[in-house]
Amino acid sequence: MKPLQGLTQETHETDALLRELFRAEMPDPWPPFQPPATFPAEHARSERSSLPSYVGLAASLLFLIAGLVAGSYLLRADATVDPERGILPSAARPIQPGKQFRPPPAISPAPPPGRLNPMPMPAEEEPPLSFSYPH
Amino acid sequence: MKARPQAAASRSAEFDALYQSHSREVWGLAYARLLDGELAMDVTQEAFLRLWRQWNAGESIINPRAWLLRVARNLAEDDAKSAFRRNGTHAPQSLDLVQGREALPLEKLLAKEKRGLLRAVLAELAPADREVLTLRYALDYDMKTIAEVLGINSEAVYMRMTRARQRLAARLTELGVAGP
Repeated sequence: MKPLQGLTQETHETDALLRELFRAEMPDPWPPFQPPATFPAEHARSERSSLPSYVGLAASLLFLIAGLVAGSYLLRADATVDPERGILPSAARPIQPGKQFRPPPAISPAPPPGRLNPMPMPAEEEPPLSFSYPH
Repeated sequence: MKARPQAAASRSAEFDALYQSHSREVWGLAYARLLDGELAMDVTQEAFLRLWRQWNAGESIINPRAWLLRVARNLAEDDAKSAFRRNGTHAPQSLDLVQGREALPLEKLLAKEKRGLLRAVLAELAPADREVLTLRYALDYDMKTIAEVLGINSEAVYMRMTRARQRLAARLTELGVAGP
């Protein structure tokens, strides 16, 4: 480097210090630039991946609307139940064709009172009619 | 089908050439702002990465050198401001003067101390003066090239250089680092 003229001893010493500082600070060896190899692929993937997210959003919205419609239909079906007459014919579930109607199993008659509790139970003490505080 | 890889290879070679010719001066301008070699290198890489992205996006840059220098300056400025917020009024490298637990060889310690003081004195100068000094002492640029990089005339470069060196010399003499 060509030295600057008209400078004092101190400035020459400063030159040496500055040169030393900058050389110590500069990376050695100089690192090469590493272009991001994944950048174009990531860019393309981000464009591609945005499509399924929109589809997913639309599907979930449709599912939500279908759920709301089905729910409101069921609520309307519940409204046809008469508290006195039971389920109205319009709301009763129709019997599927090809499937025979099976009546519910008959309830067996109640057993005689003695056989209901075969284990003898200890007789309960009757509570006293009057109550007094213990002293 | 072969034209596309060839174009990409030629673009990559062009970019490499750009990096080889200008990365040091980009580093120099970043260093002049940050006074930290590693941070300046990070800024340099970031500036070139941004240029790479612009090229990949198909945007044309008429003067890549000027573009890079401007981006590096802005990045370094932003980083310096955030470092100021993090560390208060002192740059992080001012902690270099704080002695660590492990003992260093005396010469290494003295050199490190001198460099720390020099950095502290450099930090007192205006960023424009530091830019001139960095390009001169780190890259051995002459006045004309410095003027070209900074977009100013050679007289202004000479004035800044002389003023900065005189200030530095005076401060270093005061601190007992240079002079009698």
